[in-house]
Amino acid sequence: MSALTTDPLEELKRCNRIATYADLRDRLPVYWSSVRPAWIVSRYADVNGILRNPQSVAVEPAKSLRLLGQRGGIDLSSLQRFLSSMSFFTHPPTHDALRRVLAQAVAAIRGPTLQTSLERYADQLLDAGLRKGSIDLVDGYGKALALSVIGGYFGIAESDISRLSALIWELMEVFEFTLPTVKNLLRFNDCAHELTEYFARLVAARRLNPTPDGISTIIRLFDNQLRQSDEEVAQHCLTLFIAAEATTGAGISAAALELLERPELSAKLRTNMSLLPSAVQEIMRLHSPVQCVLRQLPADLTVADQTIRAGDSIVLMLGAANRDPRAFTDPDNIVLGRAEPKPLTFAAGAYACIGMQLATLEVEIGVRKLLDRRSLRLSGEPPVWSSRRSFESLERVPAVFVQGA
Amino acid sequence: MTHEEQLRDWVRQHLAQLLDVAPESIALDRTLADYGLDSVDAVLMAGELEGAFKMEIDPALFLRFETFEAMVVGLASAMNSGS
Repeated sequence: MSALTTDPLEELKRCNRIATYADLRDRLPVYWSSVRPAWIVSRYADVNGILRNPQSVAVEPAKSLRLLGQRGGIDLSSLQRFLSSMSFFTHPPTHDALRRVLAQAVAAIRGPTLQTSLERYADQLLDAGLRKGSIDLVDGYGKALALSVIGGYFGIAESDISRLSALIWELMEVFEFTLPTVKNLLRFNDCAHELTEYFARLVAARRLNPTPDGISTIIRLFDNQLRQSDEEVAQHCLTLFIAAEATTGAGISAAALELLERPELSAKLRTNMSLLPSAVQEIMRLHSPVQCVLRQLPADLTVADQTIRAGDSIVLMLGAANRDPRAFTDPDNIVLGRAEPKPLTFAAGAYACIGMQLATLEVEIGVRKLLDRRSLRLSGEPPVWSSRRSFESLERVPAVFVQGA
Repeated sequence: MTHEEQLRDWVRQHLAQLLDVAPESIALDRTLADYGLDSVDAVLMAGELEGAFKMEIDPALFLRFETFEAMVVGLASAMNSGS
């Protein structure tokens, strides 16, 4: 077949991603992927440089959806509204204003009781597993913990949680590397529609009857600081829910798997809990839930002998940068107490994740509670990783409690 | 008609309609960009092609191949090996 290029990104799979990332960093550190189409940047120094470039801004995905709607006559309006409302796709000054308010919302989630309630819930989940003799550390632990934090804060009915979670996972496929098909776009549009309707109903209900939960808090934060319509407030709540649920859940599950695979690391942490933050940072570096982010620049920029034109889309491969041997010695291993550069797990610069401390706290609690259970082992049935490439996440980690341990 | 001929015909008709020109004026040894089309058009064309040929088509095909002709040949061989 006379293919135009052999684009390594097309062959990227979860199972070959470490080798593919190494190949990109060595051979094509900055290249134009015609199938994306966008620049792909994979070395730590270049990714970090663009993230921290004060002129770099997010790429608004809604723009191409609008064109699809105009040229193809397909209705993607729910998806378009949802994506264009997401604070992390907006540009300054809107971005800074939204970010300020949403950071306060995240601080409110972290409130004084979060730690104790999360510890209690982690114990409940592990106790339930102990009684059964087995536990799936994804649905039964990592995901459940992350959902309890954000679902609890928003006062979302327990019976609605799994439906919301499934819709979000389906919708997040919109962030995959490959060009979407029309059929999938229509599916994402349906997901976005159902999710935004759900959150609009929540906001409308709290508007009528304010409650002490998070939605009312967020409504108040916006009312006092940055006027937004109720529809926009609902979209921001949904964005927070998505960011808090999928990524943190993936982080806790990955940490659980790494620890059960490395009894010597678990033993070391049990005797010295002060190493826990470093261990969590390392595990998150190796398994960044968000594997890439998009940026664009207002002026041409030359990186690794390539000229990125103003306005071109740039895919920054966080996952590849986090394993770059030019930045980290022994990059594929967990090295406690690394004194090397800051991993880009939560990106960096003006768009760095506002939930970083919250997510880190949740993973640390999840890990600490797991380490208390010395009888917990991987079941021997292999863990299942999601096939997504822009997002690193586990689907199942079967574990068992052994007797006499 | 073979798959290849059907595909060639479909692409020619589709481009002619899109660009509002006569089908005979469409040259298949050109690329998407030669006709001023982009990834948005690739997504839409793949969607219509899927409907017409009842098979899953990756929109990146239009960007991956050098020319429409190369894409038609590649896609036809995929159809033939699949059926």
